[in-house]
Amino acid sequence: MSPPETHPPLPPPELRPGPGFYRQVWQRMRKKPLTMFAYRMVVFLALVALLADFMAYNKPLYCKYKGETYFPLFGDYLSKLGLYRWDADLINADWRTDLELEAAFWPPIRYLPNDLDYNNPRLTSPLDDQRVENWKYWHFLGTDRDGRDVLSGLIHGTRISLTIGLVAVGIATLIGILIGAMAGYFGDDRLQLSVIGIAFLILGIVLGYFYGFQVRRYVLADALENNLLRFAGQALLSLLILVGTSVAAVFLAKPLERIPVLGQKRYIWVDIIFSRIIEILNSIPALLLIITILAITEQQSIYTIMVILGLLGWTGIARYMRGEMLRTRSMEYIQAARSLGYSEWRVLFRHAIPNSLAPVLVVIAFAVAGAVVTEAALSFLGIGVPEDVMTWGKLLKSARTDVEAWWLSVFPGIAIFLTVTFMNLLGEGLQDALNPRTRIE
Amino acid sequence: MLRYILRRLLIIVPTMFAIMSLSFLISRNTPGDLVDALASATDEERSSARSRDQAKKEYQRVKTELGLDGPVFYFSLTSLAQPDTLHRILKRNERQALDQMIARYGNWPEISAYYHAVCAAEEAAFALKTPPDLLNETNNVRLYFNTLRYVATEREIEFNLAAIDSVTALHPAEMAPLTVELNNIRAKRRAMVEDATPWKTYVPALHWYGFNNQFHRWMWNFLTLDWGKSFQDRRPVRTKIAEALPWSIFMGFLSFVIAYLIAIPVGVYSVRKRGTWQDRAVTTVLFLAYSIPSFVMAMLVMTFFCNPEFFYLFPTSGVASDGAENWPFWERMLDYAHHLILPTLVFSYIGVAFLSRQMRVGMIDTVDMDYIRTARAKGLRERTVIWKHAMRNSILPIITHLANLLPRIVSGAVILEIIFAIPGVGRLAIQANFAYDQPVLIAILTLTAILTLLGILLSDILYAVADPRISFSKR
Amino acid sequence: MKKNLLLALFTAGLLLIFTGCGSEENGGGETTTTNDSTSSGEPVFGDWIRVHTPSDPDALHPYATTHGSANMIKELMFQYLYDFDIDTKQMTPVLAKDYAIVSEDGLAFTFEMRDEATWDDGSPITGYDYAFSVKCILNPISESPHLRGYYSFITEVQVDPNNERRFTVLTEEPFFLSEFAVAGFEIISKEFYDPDGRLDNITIAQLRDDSLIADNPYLTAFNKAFHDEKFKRDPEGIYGSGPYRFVNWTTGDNITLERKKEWWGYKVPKKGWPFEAYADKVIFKSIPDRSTALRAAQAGEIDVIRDVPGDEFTKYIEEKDHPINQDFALHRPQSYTYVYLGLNACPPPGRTPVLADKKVRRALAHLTNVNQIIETVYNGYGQPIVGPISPLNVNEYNDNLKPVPFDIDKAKSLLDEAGWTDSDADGVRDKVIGGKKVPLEIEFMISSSSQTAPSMAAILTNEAKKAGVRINVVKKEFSKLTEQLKSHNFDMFGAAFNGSPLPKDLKQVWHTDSWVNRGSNYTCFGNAHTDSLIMQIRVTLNPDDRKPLYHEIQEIIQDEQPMIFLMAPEERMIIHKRFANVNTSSIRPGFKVQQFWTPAEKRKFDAN
Repeated sequence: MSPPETHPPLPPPELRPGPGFYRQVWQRMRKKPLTMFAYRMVVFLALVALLADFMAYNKPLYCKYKGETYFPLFGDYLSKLGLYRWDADLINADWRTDLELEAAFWPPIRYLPNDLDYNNPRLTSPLDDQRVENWKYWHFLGTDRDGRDVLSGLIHGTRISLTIGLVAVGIATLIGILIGAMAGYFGDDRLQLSVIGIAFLILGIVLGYFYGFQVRRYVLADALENNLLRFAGQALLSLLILVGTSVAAVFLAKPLERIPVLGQKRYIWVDIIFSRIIEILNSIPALLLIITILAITEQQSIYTIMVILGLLGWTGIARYMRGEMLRTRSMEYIQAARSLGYSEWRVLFRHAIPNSLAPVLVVIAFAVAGAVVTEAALSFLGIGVPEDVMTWGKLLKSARTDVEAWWLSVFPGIAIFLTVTFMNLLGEGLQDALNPRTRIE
Repeated sequence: MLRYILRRLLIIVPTMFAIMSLSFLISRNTPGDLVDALASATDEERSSARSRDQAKKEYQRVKTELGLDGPVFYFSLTSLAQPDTLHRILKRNERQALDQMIARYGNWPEISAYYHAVCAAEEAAFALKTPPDLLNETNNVRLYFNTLRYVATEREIEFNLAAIDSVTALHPAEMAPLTVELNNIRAKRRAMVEDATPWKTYVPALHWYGFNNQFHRWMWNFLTLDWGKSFQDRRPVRTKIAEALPWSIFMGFLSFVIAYLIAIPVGVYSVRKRGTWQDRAVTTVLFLAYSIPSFVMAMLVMTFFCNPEFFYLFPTSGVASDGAENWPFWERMLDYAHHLILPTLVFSYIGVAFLSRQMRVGMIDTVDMDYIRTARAKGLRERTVIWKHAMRNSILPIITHLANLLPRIVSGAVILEIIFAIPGVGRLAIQANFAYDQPVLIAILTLTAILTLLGILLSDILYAVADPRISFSKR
Repeated sequence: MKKNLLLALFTAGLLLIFTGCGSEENGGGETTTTNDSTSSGEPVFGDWIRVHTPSDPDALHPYATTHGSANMIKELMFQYLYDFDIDTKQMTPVLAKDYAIVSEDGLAFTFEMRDEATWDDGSPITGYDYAFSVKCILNPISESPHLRGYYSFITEVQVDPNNERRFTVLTEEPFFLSEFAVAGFEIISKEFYDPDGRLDNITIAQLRDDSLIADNPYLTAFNKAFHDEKFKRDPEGIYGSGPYRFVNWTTGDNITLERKKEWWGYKVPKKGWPFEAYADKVIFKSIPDRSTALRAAQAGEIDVIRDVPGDEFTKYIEEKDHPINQDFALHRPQSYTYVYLGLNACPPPGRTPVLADKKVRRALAHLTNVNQIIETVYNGYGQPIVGPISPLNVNEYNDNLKPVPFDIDKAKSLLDEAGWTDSDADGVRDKVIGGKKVPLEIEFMISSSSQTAPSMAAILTNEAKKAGVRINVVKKEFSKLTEQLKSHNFDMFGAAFNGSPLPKDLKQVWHTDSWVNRGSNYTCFGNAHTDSLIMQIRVTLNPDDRKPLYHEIQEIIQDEQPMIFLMAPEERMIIHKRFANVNTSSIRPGFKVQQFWTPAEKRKFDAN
């Protein structure tokens, strides 16, 4: 379930990022037809996710009704933004049956994932006779137990799967790169602080936690209840308070360092501490941990899943980044930058991290595949995903109670399989492109 | 090296402590009131004042039984406004409401006075005798007073007070005692709002509670293998896990063995045929297999091989046939095997795809090494080169993948055990999850984490022993 | 059925929308007898019966179990004074020799145990055993305190000193179901469960009052021993007077019972299911997933499955040559269960009191497409209902009432009347309440383990949307859900109720007492008038006098619409054809396996 922990071999030093490095990688990738195929398929999936409404929707894209021209899908978009008002008789109308349309241009699939077709409930097979008006209403991949269109569910499920995959991995990447880089770069022997500095740092962290999270806990809780974006903002603010207080504390300690005993420098075990955290998270089976945490989150939404997957899924990236950094830290250009007297942090963020990023892309591709699978597994178990959201895992889940309805297991299964395969292929291709040596002659 | 191992062993202590704290933290943050859910599951029909009392006793009893009374941790980082006795408030939702008020007003004495006023008023409302035609109104008022005990926001408090007002205003005579109480609440509330000392909430305070806290007791119990009782059937968690564990260990172990037995030859084969169509075929199949999640695989396999409509080759679920417990030993074993073949294969499939790919990559790295080239140059047969020389060096990293595989197998088992109805730990965990059975879930979580941790430790040490070239300080 | 009959008697427990593993509904109803497998010839002993259960019970303790699946198993090991007769649906004496002699005031009931009735060691079942059972139930510190609430009206049990089989039960107040209640719990052996006689010196009066019994060392000691693990799942610790003996429990897989070769029931001249038992073994196989169970049945691994999913069942009916039909007979007795949606009529704490308005509740009822629900969710196996009384309870059912029709336009106009209009044209109606514009959103809570509730919710959501009502479906775990219901913190929930052939006592669900005190009146129904109706029903001992009372309260309930009554589902079960004497009824579990027997030539398992 977790992203693969393969550690791709590293590119030789001469290929280290420089101007045109990424262009070289891209050139190499373009030469591999399989990788390019995977790349195009991923783009295609992204398009499906983006344009799902244009492929499956229960209102026409364009139509004429009572002499007037409508663009109902766009109307829905606009009215969600508050820019458009539907007429009273059209608000909740079913455009397929209730209205006599004079002309209409429909999306290829005329169902939303949660539309119930009462005429074709109880698992209508795509191969059976369906009770539909004409072929345009055909359920091309059959229906589920309640008469929902499977194809529409697959199309809209793409959106959920990819969004969860990308956002979760986005969060994970940020955390993973930061922590991995710090652990690898500083190791246990590069970040020095005075004794008093360390004491103040600990104090700063405690205080920062107090002011950032303890005092603000109801602010955070309220924001979480109201609006996810606001919560993200508030959480970021809390985090800033924590970091700010800690940093301020270290600076406050400076004047005291003149006192000889307090001024003694000590190395901070950055690597040991972060590695332990990674180890702890890694030792708990991912799915079990996610399930347990989802059990205590009251709000069930796909955003919750994204955030939790992101917050728990960074260890793979961090471990990889750390490994990469362990090598980078002793590179000549890093040593040169250090000897020029730049601060360690500056060297880390300006030189070390940017130059170690490329190989992380590979892990990211694998991690997206991993997140897609984890989401599917959670929906399959019926954990965390709200009722009104259709996902691939949920379709697969309905196959568990209705084994004979092979279309319920085969099609979502293929969708998951293909997405994972393409992401993995892309990752492999990227890995080969970064490191041509391992290519099989 | 000995130092490395010792250090590794020492470091596991704080790591385990952290894991246990994490588990504990999760378990104490379950939303809702577990005690209430459990206590009220057993108090269906309680109406008189006596039984209100009884319900409270029952609540206290369940709370103690669950180990939910007393302070939560050794210490707490709170504000000056927070009293260190808040954990003595019986009900969780009331505790939370009070906490919220403290965060807003910061004056505990006034808040406490307000809370006691509300409690007294509620008692009075339940004790109130009204004529039968006012029954609905009285009941409503009781409900509002009860609600007041656990709401904290201005809006909610106002809403409830206004609602009570609207009733008492209509029936001043009958509700007279309540008006008195209501005025008392209002006065206390005014005091609370007006004498607010919000600055106190910005002054951090550290409370030390000592060892008599929930976490300490929980951890001690956990380490002495007392994992509490399941909420679902009140059986000891230890018994439940002990019943489930053999299945999971058995399946896990078997699938490990099978995975290695298949993966190593496949990997070697692929390397030996490097560059040929066989290699490409093997690589492709492995790659595709690697991309099919195990539960999707399980679903497909089950549809085709356990379904009388397709091929009915294997029993659909469970671990043994009826009455098998009375069969002769070998027949019984055969029966188990028949039931477990399919799940085991799907279980090991998780590992096969992963390991074969690792094996292949590792071997390729090795065969490109100089000494292998030398061996080849000496004219040794390819088979000998591969099996004798290359294997020895590439098998080691594979063995250590055990540590990476372990959490995967456990995670995979969670779903597979559900699909194949194997009464193992994974299924227990999912069932516990759906039933909010915290003791079981947390015990499983902690236990698997610790076991995995030990697994990783073991493989690290193995690795260190076997390959002294590893720079320990960097690991 | 019967968790000590308490479900049946005191309104029948609530089972939140078909808990999926639901096995608590109750039944009565049409008795269907199997077509081709009716008895031909004399019953013979032998063969095994393998019954599917969706989950393991928590224990097989006579009292300290809470799982529905325990009852079906315990029923083969423990017996009652009375039990339901499958054909007449009346309570008939089992352990009791005859019906009780009731005193003038209806407070004292005198029973006599059957002469044949003995424990396994041959010792007679006596009034002392009965008194001991009562004490166990009334034990204030027991692990099953809920039972105590139901039986605390028993004040004393007097055993006739001259005939220890004869005893009189005294009760506190007249109650129309008293006789069935006092005859409706498992009788257990005093000798076996309390060999040291620790409860001997404790009286029922003491047990009824907590203050008199505080910290009694004997009681504490007894209580500890009584709830020992041994009495819950150990073959040595489960001991009853029924025809089967518990021999093995493989957790998560199966529970095996074995027939007692020398059982007192065989000596009873009168026949009937309580005195029959033929199969050598009854095995309860635990398979959580019903379609897996069906495949197991098809493969010959299971003989009896209840609650077959509707569409599977339809398939079996439609496809005559379906493999299931070769070996299995289909049964679909009607049931007393009814499915409903509860609406929160009281102002919920911290929520907008949307449903406190009767018009909105009405509108929702009009938006519920009951026929479509029966069609899609239950594959047509069910009938619409009008209220909490099953149409099968002919004596109490008010047949003048008509179901609320599905009518979107009517719903729209009701909502308009109630002031809910779509002022911002976003498709959801809204209303200004307390200076704030509130959208008409209703949270619909369903049990997370339910199989059918999501489909039902989907249909409701779909239809409500057309009238501008947004319904948000939220899955909650059972205990969580109950907790929220008890504090009235909900808008709408889905659930089902059991019934029984006995007239229903409405106190628990419909009396206002159980509204404020966190009882089962979640919807806040009732007023002084309905309360008095309910109490009057309880003390009216003559059925004909109760009838108008029942009718009136049904009318009020329909008018107030605290619940949307959906339908009464039919049971759907399959039973292997090799068994003879298969009588199914909706009296739970729907069949009596102890009646089944297999003609020698069809026998599947050797008699060993």
